[in-house]
Amino acid sequence: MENAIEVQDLTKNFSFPVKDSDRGFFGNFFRPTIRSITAVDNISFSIKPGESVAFIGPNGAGKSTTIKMLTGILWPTSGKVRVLGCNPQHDRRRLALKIGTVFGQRSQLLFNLPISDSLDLFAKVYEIPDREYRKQRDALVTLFDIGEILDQPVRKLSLGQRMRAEIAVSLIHKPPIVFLDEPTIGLDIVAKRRLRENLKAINIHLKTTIFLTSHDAGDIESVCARTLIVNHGRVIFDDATSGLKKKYLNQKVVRVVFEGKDKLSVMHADGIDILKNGKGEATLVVDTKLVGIDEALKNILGNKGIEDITIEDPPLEEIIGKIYESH
Amino acid sequence: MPVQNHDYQISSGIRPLQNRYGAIRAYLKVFTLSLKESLYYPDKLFASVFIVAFRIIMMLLIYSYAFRYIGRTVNGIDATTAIWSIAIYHLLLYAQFRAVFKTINDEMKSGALETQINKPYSYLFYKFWEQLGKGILNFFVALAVVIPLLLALLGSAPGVFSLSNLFAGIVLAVGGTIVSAALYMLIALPALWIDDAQPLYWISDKAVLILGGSYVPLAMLPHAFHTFANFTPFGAPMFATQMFNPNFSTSWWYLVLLQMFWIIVLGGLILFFFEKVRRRLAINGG
Repeated sequence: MENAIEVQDLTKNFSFPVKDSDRGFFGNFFRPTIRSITAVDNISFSIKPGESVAFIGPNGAGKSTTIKMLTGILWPTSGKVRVLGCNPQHDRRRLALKIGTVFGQRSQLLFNLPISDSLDLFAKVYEIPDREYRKQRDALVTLFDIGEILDQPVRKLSLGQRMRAEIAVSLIHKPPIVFLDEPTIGLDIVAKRRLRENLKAINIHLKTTIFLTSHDAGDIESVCARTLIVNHGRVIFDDATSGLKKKYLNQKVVRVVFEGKDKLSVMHADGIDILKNGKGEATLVVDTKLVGIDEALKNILGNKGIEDITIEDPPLEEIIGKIYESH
Repeated sequence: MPVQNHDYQISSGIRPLQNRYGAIRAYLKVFTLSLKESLYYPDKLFASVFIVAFRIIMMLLIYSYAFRYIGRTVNGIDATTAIWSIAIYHLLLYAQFRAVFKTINDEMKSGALETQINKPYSYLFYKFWEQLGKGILNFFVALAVVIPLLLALLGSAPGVFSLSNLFAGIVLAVGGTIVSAALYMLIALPALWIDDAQPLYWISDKAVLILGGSYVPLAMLPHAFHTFANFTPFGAPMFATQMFNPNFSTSWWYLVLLQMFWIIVLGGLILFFFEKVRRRLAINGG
């Protein structure tokens, strides 16, 4: 089966003039000093149809630049890109008919008009036959629960409502692949959860390939089966999202609850770090590289009056943060 | 609606029509929606029409007084002709494309064009139809107010006015609208290379203002201005203002040819530079 996205040795440099105080106005105007930065540095990856992939990294890592090259907005400095068999830069219109895009920080909706007008416009833009359009619009209205706000001007929508409308509009032509650049930015917990459910649904039921960038670990865990991490323009991790924890997880968080107001007494050993201890509750971090979890538990169980013990993985956010720091 | 119910039936892969009329239908939709959008702000519309009417009345007072004072025509132009010519300039200004400069300049600087450049249409054609939709209602409302006002205040159109002149004037107004679109789009594109293309806008806009006859009809200016208006794209958007000139019935076809020349030249330059822009695009956060 042909890959939905194929990226090979992709590089993007941005050049811009910088003011040189020694050159004066005319020197800077006619022969400016040019500075170049590499936003994407020789990355390669491929994505199969129907995959849901998180493309994450810290600010300035090159995620948005990559997504923009994949959707034909930016031209690469070098390397090859194929999306659904098209070269995004040379086959811009052909590719545009097949993909959906959502940029969390920008809107593609008609700001002063109701959502229904944006849907009508995109139906014409994507040349969708009227009957199919009506069917698809009704289905999306149901899925994204935008029936009640369909006739409201976009400018009067809440951010959560607008984002649901943005995604609905991007799916009006039933694209086999959808690119989402930080779709949950600024949303509250409820709106985020709802959006993630919708994305998961279109991935599972329609087999729509999802390519998502986000700073929110919740988006990645809930929606994406695979994670690609970029930093300084390079891919530093490419594996199943579940593998992210397995590979990088060498810490466990242990919470101990005592009857009454006892304190935990533990032999300080390498690899056991007490974060909080007192008033009937203690929290420890166990570094499993230095001490086994069984040994740490043996140490803890030596205490009397233990009512409950929970062992948890640190949040994904923390793991991702550590990966960024280590590269 | 809980997603788990799956009470929706959407499938992947609509096959678009992709026939030759598809693009035309899409742009017509852009036009009608822009028109609809302009109806959402009737207060803005009536305020701008009031300003046009006010300007024309001011010019009428000034020109009536000035011509009464000098007691003769200037280059064959009398007060009535001058005022009609100025009125046509201000009416056309409403249907035309100065605002498209700001839209493109802002979208390039902010990177907002990224939501449009990856759609299956031409960004420039989209902006053309969008702006036309925004401007056309203003134009017709202003026309409905200003023409009866002038007929009431001046009594009649200038003596040289005829139906054939009106027809030629409409052709020149349509041609001028296209030249104007091309001109203001072209000067917005350098926003990618220079931080702000606003100075280019000021220069071009003032050149159109002078050579288009905003406050002094072109026929009243020295001959050198006529040459400059004809052989630069700054006069062409407003050739229709010359429909009340004494020699218009014999010279209008020449003006149409000049407009066609500028449409081809400016259109070619826009397509050439826009392709350069696409390749050099750098968007914030990207």
